Amino acid sequence: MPHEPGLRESVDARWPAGFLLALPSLAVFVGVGFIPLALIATWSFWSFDPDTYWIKPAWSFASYAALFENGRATVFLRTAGLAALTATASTLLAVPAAGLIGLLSGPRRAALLLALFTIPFFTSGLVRAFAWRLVLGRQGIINNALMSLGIVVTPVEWLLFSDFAVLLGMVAAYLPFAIVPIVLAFARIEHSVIRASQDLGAGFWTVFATIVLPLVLPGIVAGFLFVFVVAVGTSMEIQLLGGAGASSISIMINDVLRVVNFPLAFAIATVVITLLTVLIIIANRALRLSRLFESLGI
Amino acid sequence: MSSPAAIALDRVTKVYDKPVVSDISLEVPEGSFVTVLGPSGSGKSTILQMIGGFLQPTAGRILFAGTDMTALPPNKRPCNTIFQDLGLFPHMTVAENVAYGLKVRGVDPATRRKCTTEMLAIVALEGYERRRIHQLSGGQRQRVALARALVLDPAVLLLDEPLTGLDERLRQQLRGEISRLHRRLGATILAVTHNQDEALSLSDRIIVLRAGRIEQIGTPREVFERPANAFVARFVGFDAILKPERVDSGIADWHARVAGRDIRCEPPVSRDPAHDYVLVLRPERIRIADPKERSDLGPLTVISTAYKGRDVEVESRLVDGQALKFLISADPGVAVPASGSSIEIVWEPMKPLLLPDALVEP
Repeated sequence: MPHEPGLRESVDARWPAGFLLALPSLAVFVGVGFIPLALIATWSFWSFDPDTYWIKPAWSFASYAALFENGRATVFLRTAGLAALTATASTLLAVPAAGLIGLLSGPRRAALLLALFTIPFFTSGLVRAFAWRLVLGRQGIINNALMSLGIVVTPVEWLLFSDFAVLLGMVAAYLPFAIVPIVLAFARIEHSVIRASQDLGAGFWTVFATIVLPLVLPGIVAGFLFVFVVAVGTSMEIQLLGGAGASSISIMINDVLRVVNFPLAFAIATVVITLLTVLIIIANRALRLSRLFESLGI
Repeated sequence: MSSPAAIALDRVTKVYDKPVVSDISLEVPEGSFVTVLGPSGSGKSTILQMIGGFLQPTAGRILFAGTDMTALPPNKRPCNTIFQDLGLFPHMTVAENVAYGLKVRGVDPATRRKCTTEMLAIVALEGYERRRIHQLSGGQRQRVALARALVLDPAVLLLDEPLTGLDERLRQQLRGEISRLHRRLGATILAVTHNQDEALSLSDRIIVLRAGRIEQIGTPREVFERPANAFVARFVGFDAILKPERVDSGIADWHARVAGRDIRCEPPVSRDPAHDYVLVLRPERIRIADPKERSDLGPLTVISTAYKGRDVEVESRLVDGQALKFLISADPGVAVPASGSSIEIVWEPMKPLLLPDALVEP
């Protein structure tokens, strides 16, 4: 093929500087994100060979059919329900906390308060979850206090190894995920908007209901989704704080992997990832959640 | 006795680390347009925020139609503010923005719709009801803010730098708009600005503020033609200021001596024993004298000239070392003096003003 003059220019136009600059992060995204996920999705359609305990490239939907067997669907629903409950509780706590940080504090105090909320992340999640046993157990701080105060005679049993304990542990662990996007949403509210609303006759609660709440709604939804996504994937709190029969999707995947049924494990993972992705895309379309992070420059 | 002023400030002071507003008393009569004019940091925004209820004065009272409302929060005051950055609600349509105050007051939906439609017609925004704020131009946003405040028929409308940050064309258009609304609705308006053109063209009365104190209160004509002191003079465009060696009082005219020349001046309107007099001239009324003409002042050495479009700015120095900047016409027929040349100048028929030299911070 003859060399065409101006070919370099056309190449430059097709690969603009922006693309070249994005190349490293794109490589990371494809290398450690997209390729493994694609493999998981592909292998979930292969067949499990019980004789060799290995997978073979014979396309089948058997793994997906198995999702509805042995009460697996119930585990899906239970996990989603627990995650939704965790996300709801976290969001309810995060709104006033974020309001305090993002709206009422000056920049210095806001940074300090935000840092305080992230301190729990300095220790391992395992340690934090375990610490709740010392608080909630039969001989734990709460039961000891209640008994020495004479409020109860025998230890309160439902505090530990119960859904309550799991919920408490998860909310404590994932609250910061809800706070950060809501703080960003609060910080985006211009002061003059609130002033204008007061000026036009609105008292505190009217300002909150008609101006502040609608403007932070994208942050609230983003915070809810962040916690929900993390809570769906966790197993630690359930294993350490949950009751005897408690299960979750990640525990189920673990169990399936123990019998090396890779296609089934991958099928579960693929369904979870697909559902979460769809959820996030819908929420983003509806509320333009990605705008929240513009102020961070990401 | 006349009815009490729509707003009166009674010896209002606001102190942060140091006083920002010191012992200010002023009145805005019903139906008038009053402008507080001052450079940034003069405390004019603080005054507006205290009237709006967003700041509490350290001392003094704020009265609306004779009633003391100093302690009331913003939502209980009979005034509305147009903030410099407007504060329009981004999650509402134009109509919802305008109807907001009515809704908060519990006005029924039918009346709300009627008032909103009328007000949008007044600010020439019919058909924009369902638009979002981000779909509007800067001028349209300003008009939404005006409509949103005016629909409540406030006793006083407060304008914070209403035309700042707009381009020249929009500025002129809005200036006309505000003036028209003021006349049509008979609204009482208090504006703050640092722009003297804005203040001169819009207001019935101008209050010149400097470092939290009132320097002069007067009609635009009074402030422009008879500034109280050199600070006010410089603020309204008397940029050519000379220090006389001696001032002699007379019966009709006073005489001042500058660089050995005797200059006939207007007698001073205000006297201030704390300050010496300075001689104040409008730079655009000065021209270079013909060789045969009797000059008012000279000789001056031309230091530099700068083309400014309509005018040429001439920077010159008197024999006693004082600098004088003035403007000559940039018409091709008018000769621009060469740097280093010696000139004489004429300002007839204008007579220089003698004003207290209050340029130094008090």
